[in-house]
Amino acid sequence: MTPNISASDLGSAPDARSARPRDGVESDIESLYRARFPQFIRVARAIVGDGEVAREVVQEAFAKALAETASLRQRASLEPWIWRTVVNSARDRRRSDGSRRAREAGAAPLEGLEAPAGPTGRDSALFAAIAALPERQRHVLFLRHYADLDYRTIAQTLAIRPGTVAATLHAAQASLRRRLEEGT
Amino acid sequence: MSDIDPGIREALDRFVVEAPVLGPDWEDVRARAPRPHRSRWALARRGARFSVGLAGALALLGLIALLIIKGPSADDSAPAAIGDPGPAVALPIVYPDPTYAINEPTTTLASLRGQVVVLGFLDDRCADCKAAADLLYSDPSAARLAVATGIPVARARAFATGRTGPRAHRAIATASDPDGTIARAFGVTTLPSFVVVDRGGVIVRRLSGLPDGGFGIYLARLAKEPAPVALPPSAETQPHLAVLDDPALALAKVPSYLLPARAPCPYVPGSLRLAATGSHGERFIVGRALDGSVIQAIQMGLGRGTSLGCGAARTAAARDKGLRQARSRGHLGVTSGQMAGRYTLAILVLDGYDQIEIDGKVYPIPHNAFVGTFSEKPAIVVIRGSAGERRVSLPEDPRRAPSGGGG
Repeated sequence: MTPNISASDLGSAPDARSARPRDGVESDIESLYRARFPQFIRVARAIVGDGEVAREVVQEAFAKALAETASLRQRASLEPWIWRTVVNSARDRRRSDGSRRAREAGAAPLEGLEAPAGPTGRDSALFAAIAALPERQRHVLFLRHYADLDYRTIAQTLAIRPGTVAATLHAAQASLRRRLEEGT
Repeated sequence: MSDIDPGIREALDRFVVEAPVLGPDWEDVRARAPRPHRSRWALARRGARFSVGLAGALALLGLIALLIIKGPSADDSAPAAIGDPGPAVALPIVYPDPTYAINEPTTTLASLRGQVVVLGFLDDRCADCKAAADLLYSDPSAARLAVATGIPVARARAFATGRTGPRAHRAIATASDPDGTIARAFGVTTLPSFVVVDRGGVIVRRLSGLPDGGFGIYLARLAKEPAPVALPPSAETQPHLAVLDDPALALAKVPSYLLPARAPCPYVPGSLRLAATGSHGERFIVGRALDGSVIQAIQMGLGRGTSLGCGAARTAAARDKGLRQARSRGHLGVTSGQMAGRYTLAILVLDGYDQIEIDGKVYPIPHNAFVGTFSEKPAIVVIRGSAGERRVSLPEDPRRAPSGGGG
């Protein structure tokens, strides 16, 4: 790609940013987005429970990274920074959606309302079991399974010690297995 | 990943069925990104570019002015949103359903017009998608069309006939969308997703994931709504006058009409769907269905250069407020504009007017009437009665528009 220098001099051109010579951090961010998009989506989807919101969360995290290239340039690792942003904002969205749902749950049911088409049987037990896990266990499990992250990156993402990751992953599985067995 | 048990892995795979339809769209991310902070050096440099910036700002102002004059125009590449007409994308049918006239190899929303259509964007892999297919199957109140997204035609056909489906999954009409073209046109980014199109071909609801129990109720209610009235044929060159109400506007007997949030303009039997551009003084036109069951307020002049929109009065209080406003403006509400290349005029006549003259031809109008006209060419409209005379030119010049109430 040949950077269009003259266009970037015109600060008011609407595409000035895309025409500016790309610095290393920005292209790193884009590469990471293109390469790991499905993994980011899966983790965000696992946390918030909605594909559309997950997409928003992931895109916003990367947009935030674009806005903070100056500070990211000082950092050794871009990926854990973005993972942390995704996990945190997905968690915040889940909490705010949860409180909204709780408020709406108080509304009187409409006459003739059909039963909600939610997860049934085995899946509802699974959803309940995962929801019952402590948040950190859930996040470690999601990052390990859906994104295949190594322990070091997971530790950086969740701001815990690498040794804690293995222990948390073990505890999460034990707890999930027990809850699933109880549920069936 | 040997550190996670196979049983847990399987459970987690059931928990999230990841199916992003669209690939990573980097331009979306860039569009979301706020401008990076400028350093002091960059600010100083910006001063040197002031003249260039000024020229740019002037150009931008011109562009904004142009946009205000032109009004928002539909971008063909933008996915359809709620309130937009459904995209005119071809729906290649791999499994037909004669019950809903989904027969042709290539169907479009236009050919399904007149019935409520639910499109379910699915594939044959995820648990949620199969549950979504079951849901589509079980709700007969609307035309159901599965759009098999991101899978080859053969798999779409197999999915339709249930060979790869789950136990309760029986055949529903299915269109094949191997490369996601249809999904993109409808703005669908994840599976499963649902899009509901009303009888007039307008997108009225979209949701991603499995809907809750209210969805069936919503569909049933939507299916009961009457079909929209067709516009007058375009060949018509004379002003078309439709008196949309009878003289006895028994307001006290009109119940409020509840609508889901963000629903587009409801269709009222006998009413014409009106849209107007230009900044008008009038805020409300209030109409009434011929069957007396529905009162509709069309809200105009939302404070922007171009205004469009209508909605039903959702509560008795809102309805009464609309009526009070119309009355306080001289018992006559007028708005005019352009739609589909024709000039439109909508008038609420509450009291004191009994004639409308369009290009020299006089029509009687009852009191308390809701009147709509369409005209192929600019026209002068005069409304007369004991309350006086009002002249409205079509199109009305928004810069010189009187406050439409005439009061």
